[in-house]
Amino acid sequence: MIRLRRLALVVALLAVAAHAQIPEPRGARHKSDVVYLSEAVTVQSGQPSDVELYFRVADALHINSHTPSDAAQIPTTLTLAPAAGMKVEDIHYPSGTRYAFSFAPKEKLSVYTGDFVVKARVTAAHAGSYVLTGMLRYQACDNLLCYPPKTLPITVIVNAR
Amino acid sequence: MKRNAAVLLVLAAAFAAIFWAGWHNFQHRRQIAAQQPMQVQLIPATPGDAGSSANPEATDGMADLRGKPAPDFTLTSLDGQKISLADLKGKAVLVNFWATWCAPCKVEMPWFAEFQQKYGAQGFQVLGLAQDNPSRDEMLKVAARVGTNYPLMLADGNVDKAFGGIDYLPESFYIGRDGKIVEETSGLAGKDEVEANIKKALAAGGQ
Repeated sequence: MIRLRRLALVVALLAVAAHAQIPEPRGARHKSDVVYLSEAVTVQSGQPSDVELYFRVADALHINSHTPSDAAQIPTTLTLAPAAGMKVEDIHYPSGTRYAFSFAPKEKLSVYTGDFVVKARVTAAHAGSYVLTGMLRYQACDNLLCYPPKTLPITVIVNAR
Repeated sequence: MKRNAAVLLVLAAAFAAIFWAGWHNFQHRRQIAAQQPMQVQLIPATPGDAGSSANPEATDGMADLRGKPAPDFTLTSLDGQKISLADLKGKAVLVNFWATWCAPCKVEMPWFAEFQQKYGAQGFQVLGLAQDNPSRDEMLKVAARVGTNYPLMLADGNVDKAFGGIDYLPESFYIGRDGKIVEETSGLAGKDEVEANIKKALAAGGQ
């Protein structure tokens, strides 16, 4: 019985090891470097409301904040097209966190990592459902290299009461 | 009895996991093998050029051009000088792809300038190829800030393809005096590694 249990343990460990050895496809590591996480949001019609848009930067990556420390860097920018009956009045970005490459610890960058929230101030003229479309433009790097700028298309469903 | 059955169940599940992992691994390798010929076709190169026999799986995301002749190009530098790689045969050349928005690129550019100064007399030349189509003013700003003493030029969209496609930055190719690529790096390399690669290029294909 004990032997059988030991054998089961060894085989289970082997199974885990075999799974761990499956190679990652090259270039797939950061296939989705930023993802949009928000679902439908509800606001009050006839008054300005802040809609929170949630984004997630992939592990080990960072993207420049909306106000990068170096003017040459590409800021993260959200553009939302207004929908009929809904005005987009303002977009508010979070502050970036300070980041430095290990090879240049004195050069501090302003970046977003992990989850971050961009707020869009919208006003719905009437109660109803609205669909806002937009783009998040960003440029991602890890601790050693950078990827070309990208745009992430997003759709925001806003239900106004 | 029940315990035995549970242990046997665990064993069966573990064997199934091993089989699945093996099968997944096999499928993945087969997929890569099937993709390789297509990827080679995507690299524009004349017969005999480096791209024609590139192996896109050889290094971390880069086509392995080591040992192959560097693809030739002619580009215009910031000061209006036309520079052809072929004209630099007999020199060790570092072709560095960079962009104005690339922070790690600007970390290593001062090192390249330092090594240009240090090894220039031995026949070493750095060429900085901007990938992001910046304006002349933007390039001048970077040149002033990082203190480049080597030609900066705009990549024309064909050069990067000839070098196997530049998917991220920085990427650097170290070319020996005989025009063959001796080393390539993707991402920010350490300063010592950069210098070692330059020495390797200077020593390769000596005349």
